[in-house]
Amino acid sequence: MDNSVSSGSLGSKLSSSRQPSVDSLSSSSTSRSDRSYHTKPDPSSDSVSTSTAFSPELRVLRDANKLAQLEEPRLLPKESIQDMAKDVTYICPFIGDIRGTVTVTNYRLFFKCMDKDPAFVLDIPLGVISRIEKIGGASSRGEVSYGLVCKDVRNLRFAHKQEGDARRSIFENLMKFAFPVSNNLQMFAFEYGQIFPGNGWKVYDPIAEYKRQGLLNESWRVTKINDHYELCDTYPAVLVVPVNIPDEELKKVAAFRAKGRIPVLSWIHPESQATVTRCSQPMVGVNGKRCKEDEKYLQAIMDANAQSHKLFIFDARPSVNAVANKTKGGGFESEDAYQNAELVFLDIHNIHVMRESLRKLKEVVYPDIEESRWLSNLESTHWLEHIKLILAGALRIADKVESGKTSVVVHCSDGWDRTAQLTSLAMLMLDSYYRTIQGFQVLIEKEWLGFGHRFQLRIGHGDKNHTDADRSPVFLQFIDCVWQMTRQFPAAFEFNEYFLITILDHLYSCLFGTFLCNSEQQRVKEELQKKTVSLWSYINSQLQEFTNPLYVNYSNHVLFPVVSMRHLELWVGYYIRWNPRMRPQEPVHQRYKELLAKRAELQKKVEELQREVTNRSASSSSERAGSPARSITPIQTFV
Amino acid sequence: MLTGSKTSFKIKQLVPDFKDKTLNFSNTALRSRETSDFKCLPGERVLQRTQPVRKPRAGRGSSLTGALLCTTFRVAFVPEEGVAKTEDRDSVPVFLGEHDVALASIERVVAVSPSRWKVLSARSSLRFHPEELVLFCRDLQVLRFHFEKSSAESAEITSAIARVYQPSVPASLSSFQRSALGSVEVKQYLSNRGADPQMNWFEGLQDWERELARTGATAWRVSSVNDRFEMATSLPKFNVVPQRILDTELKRTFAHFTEGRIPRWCWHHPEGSDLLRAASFQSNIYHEKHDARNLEALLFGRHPQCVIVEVGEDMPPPSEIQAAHSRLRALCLGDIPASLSVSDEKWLSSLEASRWLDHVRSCLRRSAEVSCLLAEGDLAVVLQEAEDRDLNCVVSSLVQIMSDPHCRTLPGFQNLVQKEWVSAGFRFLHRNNYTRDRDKEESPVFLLFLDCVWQLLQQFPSHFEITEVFLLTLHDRAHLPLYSTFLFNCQRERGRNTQHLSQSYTPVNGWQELVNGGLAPGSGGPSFPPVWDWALHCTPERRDSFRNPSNTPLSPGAVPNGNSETPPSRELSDCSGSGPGLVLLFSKGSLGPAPHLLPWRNAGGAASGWKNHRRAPSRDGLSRLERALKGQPLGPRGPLLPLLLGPCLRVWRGCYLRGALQTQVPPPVSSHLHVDFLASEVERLRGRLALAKGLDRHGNCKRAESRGTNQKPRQETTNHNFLFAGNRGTGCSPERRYTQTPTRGQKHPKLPP
Repeated sequence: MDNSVSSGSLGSKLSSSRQPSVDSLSSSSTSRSDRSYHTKPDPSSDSVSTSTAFSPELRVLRDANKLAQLEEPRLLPKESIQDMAKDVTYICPFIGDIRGTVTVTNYRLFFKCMDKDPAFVLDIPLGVISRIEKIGGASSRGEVSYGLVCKDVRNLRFAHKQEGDARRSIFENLMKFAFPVSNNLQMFAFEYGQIFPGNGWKVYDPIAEYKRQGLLNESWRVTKINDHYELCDTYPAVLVVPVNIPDEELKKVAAFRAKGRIPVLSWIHPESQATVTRCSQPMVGVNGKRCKEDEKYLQAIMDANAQSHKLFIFDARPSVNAVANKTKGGGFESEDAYQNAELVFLDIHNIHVMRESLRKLKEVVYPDIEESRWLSNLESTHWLEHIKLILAGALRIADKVESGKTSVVVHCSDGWDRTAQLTSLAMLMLDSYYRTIQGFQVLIEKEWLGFGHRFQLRIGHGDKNHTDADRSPVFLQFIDCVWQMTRQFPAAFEFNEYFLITILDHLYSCLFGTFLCNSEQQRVKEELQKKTVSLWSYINSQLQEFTNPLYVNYSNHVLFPVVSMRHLELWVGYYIRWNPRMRPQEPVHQRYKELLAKRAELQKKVEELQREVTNRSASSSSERAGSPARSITPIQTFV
Repeated sequence: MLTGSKTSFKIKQLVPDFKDKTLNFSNTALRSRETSDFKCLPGERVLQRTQPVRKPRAGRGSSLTGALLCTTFRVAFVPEEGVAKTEDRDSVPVFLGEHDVALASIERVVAVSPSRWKVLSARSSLRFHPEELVLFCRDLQVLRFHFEKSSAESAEITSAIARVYQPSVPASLSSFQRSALGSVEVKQYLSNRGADPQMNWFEGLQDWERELARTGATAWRVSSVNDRFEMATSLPKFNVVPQRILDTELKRTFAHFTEGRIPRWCWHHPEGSDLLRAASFQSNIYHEKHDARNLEALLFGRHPQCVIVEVGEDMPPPSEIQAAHSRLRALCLGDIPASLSVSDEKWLSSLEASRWLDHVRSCLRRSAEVSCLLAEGDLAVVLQEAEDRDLNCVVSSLVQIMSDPHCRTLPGFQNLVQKEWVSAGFRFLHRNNYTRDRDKEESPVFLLFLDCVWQLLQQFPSHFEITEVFLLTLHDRAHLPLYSTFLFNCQRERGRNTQHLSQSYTPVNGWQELVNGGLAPGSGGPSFPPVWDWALHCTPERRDSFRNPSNTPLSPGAVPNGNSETPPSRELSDCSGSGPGLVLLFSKGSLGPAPHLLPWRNAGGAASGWKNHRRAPSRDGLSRLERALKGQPLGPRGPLLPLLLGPCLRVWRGCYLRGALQTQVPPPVSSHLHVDFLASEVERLRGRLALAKGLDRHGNCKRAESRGTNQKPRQETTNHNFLFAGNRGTGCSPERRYTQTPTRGQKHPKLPP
């Protein structure tokens, strides 16, 4: 019953079954009551740092308050409390005003209300905040309030009783630590020194990954030309190119491609040798410039695949935009210049359209949902339509490679937004390895981080310039598309929904170094691997949280999702997770765990029975000996 | 349930004598049986057959190849390979295989060639050789068959289907029914079917008593005043009424309600409340003083409070349900194969405009409100609808599904439908409109109910034993005019048509037809099985997925069964006294005192004395109930209250979008298959263990029997389902199929000879 949530019950729902102090890692935890955090072996929680950087006033405030210990979050290593204020009102759009204590650390904003039982808690990494604004000096109640606009589809509002130092200092500290880049401070990721059992930075090794794909063969080679990021500063050091194109020619091709992003191999089909290659737009310009080397290069890509005498070039943009790019020197391959190549436009809109669509979506889902007009409101955001176009594009690519055995070249303008979406989704459809937890990490490291999706710019880590036109939810769309696929193929992915949400939460949190910077070159320069922790270290330390119990390893199985709007859904578990009326009725996560347990139990039973049968048949007649013993293995491979 | 076992015994003996009469039939059947894997029903004839034909499967690009047959009963597709033949131990085959569609389900036959397409009727002639045959079905399936080569053969079978399907005339309906159920063998077989001991048909006295005992209701009794349907023709023979009302008093109350549908007990909440349902009051009759007292006794039972819930209010009337369903259907199927009528971009707003989900929401909301009221204890909640034959069925059964875990089990759900729909007199025949001559009354109220159950299942997957596959199968079968469950409007008609007390099998007809030489269509129509006899018309694979094995077993403590406490004594003292209790009216989502509860009170006079000693509504009780409506956390025993916000209600893709031409995709996997597989594995091993034990004692004799079941290669179909679930037996293309399948054989090492 959607009108059934009384103010009394909500607080308890919000924080029920969790110990607020433990779930320090993710902002999502404030809403997800379906995870049991108690048992989580969170390595960050057992080493509570003793914060030292205390101002005297703060200490007084702290000592004066006997409950202070309880009102603070449990801190991460190197996390320190910067500010605290009591009697702050959190103006919750769902249950009204809640009075409690606000704590600001160098990593998070923490709000706790002790009056409720269990206590009401908000725990938000500051990185999630995209904008902080003061709302008026004098409201009707004599309170002053400020609002936080968050990157994860919610807004928060706090109010202080009176204008005063407390508010000012909270506000200033928020401004300071939420936007470290604008304040010339270090991101918290560089301080957070948690040790995890495994090193997530080692998850991806480009050479090993290309070898896994069956490279390097007689047609493709690794070039060292970009070892120092001289050919292209937004590309990784390791590039795979056709064997018969010497490095000298690569340079000429780079000159013809926007930002020097030459076509390089992303994926090769294990049987047909059809490839997925990616690049940026050719610098054709209004005059229709041509480049011999570039034409030869694409021919080489086609020739590397003996199965087909055609090459498909997928331009992610709408054709109008591609034409418009000619005035800026860009453009697309003409079919005259590129023999045997067929150009296809995929009609995916640019980052600005996507940003606007997400803004509309946020309006529709947060905080209130208009019940009777929900579907048409959702339609008017066009969000699902964009998701559909991206998936449809990826599907066409995967289909060409798998069914047509044809090699494809994918590009948009710069080849780091839509191209990354398309290639990574197509690879997810084509290669079951990327549907494992480890494989998905490799996919992100390779197609997104390696090939220079500009995370810093698109997310705006620690930057207070919230109107920056470079911000766009490109990566969010990719994860949304992945989620859509997991809905259609629930058994084909090793990871669960929580895995995807965790990735998105830490995309913004700036706790880990994974999504910082814009390119591999910058990451090397910043020594991220040395100075920060990888998100994968954290995730891989507790895989059971992220595992899909229904997973069956279909090696070699290609997924062709249905991309009709009729079969796409809004990802309620992400976009509407803050709304207490949308909580899943059943703790799905819990249920998954139960399923895993049940499976283990049944497996054990099967084994026991097998053994018993073996024994019995062995004892009842000797001629049967030997046959039953091998029986157990298939079940294990099956599950 | 089967009362005529003696008769059926006779039939068995008689059959040989009549064998020659049916010889012709059996011969044709026999011939077709020889020519293919396809097994005809007795009396069913193959009219046309062609192969090879490809049937596209869920997922992309892959298809099954096989033979397409048109018979007098169905269009059947027999795949060449891959589908495991289950040993047919019963003499009568499963009516419908996984790939079959009954002629009566087909709504439109479309022949497609590259250049054109044509909708075919019996009289239309086909002037081209179709490459593809598309069958649009009533149950929203769309079946497509590609002919490997378009030839005269493909045209022939297409026209044959178009000739025979003709569903809209009553005569074709009965000929269809005869072709399925009319043969001697089928009749005889049906007459020998035992009834499922877990089923409660809600026909006899003891059936209702069983239900009273199960729910722990003590203040109620079964009355047989309607034994001969004299009091109310649409009510069942037996009705549950308060203990303290005498039959003579009861008889006087019928006149006060539309169609004589007096308030009757439906369900007892373990906390003490009772759920009742009734039609609206008749206001234009003369009332005597003690009528009021009787009515009051009827409404209150023993409770101090009675809440009247206006079910029809703010809810869609049947005509609107029908309109919404038509819009949904047009939206999901499109009108013609060539183009979808609604563009993908407008899907969401068109879906909203169909209003189907709004209607689902209003049913769920009303039911959730009632469930909350009931959970408060100490109440009689009376669902009142003008005729008590449409939305009352929906709401009363949804309330019980939300509140009573038993109703979420497979037998419990079937019993519930028997109780609140079949026995209560839901007009299945008119609402389903099988003969297409009652378009004004047609309304998919039952399908709306199934959709509501599906929504609950989505939100509370682990609280249900029944599965989506079960709901889907029931949804599809409701479109088939073959089941006693769906062919009648009330118990009286059901009994009259089958000339038998029980709606389960009747051997009498079969007997008569035999005597008359099968020539008496009037008296000897086929006997219809109940839809619940799944073994008859579903493959074992499908039946296996009716139950969710990982559903949490019901712990005895949490079930409102006969063991639960009887209502606390306070209420007994409260209302055993003379004073009537508090009547509240639940309207527009809130509770209030009922000003004009009983119609004659407006007229004043007769009942004024009654009015005077009524208690004023106590604010206390009212606010308590209102709190209940707000949905306080109700604990583990509380009802399942669904979320109703826009994003929480989904369109049942697995059902409505199965046929969408561009999107033939598998419906979402029911999440339990994994465990399902292991569970069956355990079962199998347990069987083998028992076998091994048996071997120790009995030697060889048992071994042979069980081997067949042990090696039933079920896992192939199961495998597919991880990727392409929903319709079992469909799946990925063979070459890229899950690679471990071949090793499967080793898993169950053959029991050595």
